[in-house]
Amino acid sequence: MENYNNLTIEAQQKFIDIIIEELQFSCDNNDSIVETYSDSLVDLHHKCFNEDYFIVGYYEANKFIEANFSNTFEAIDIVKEYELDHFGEFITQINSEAIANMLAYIIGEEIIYSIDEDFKVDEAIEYLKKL
Amino acid sequence: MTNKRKELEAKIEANYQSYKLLQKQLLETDNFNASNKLREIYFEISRLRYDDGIEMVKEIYNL
Repeated sequence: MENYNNLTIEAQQKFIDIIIEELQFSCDNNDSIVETYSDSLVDLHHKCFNEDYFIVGYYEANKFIEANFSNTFEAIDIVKEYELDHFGEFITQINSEAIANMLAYIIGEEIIYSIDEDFKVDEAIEYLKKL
Repeated sequence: MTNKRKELEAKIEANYQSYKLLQKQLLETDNFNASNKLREIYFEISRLRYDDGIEMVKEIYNL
């Protein structure tokens, strides 16, 4: 979880809060992740980081990038690598708001895919709180 | 070629074509909405990898 580990404590907490909030809202503590989300971690990831915007506005996006990455190029490179991995090309125009939300999606994936899908929801929450 | 393999190839191609359709919008300076649609495609790809076995998906990507 390299990208997550490099975030500020404040940003890390925001990610964890989003995931825990979703788990608490959609599940009972004794449910397993698999029981709750039809496609398991994929759907949980989608709910947390695709159904709502992580950051809205260029100002907030710039602040997030400046606070969490050593320079803007590092942030762009993460998004670029991801697009290259999926499509073999990178064409997206650089835009801080879009980059910040894409970073949130990628980092959210790192966190969520590190959860054991056989965990009960309360176990998953405990795991997340320890990250 | 198995049916499953053909089906996977078709889904991967469909995702790629969706990406191609988005390209013009992604190239624009104000591409916030396009970027959101791109994440929907990523989601479809993740679902595919999860549902149909990462190994076969990787094999097709490597072609």
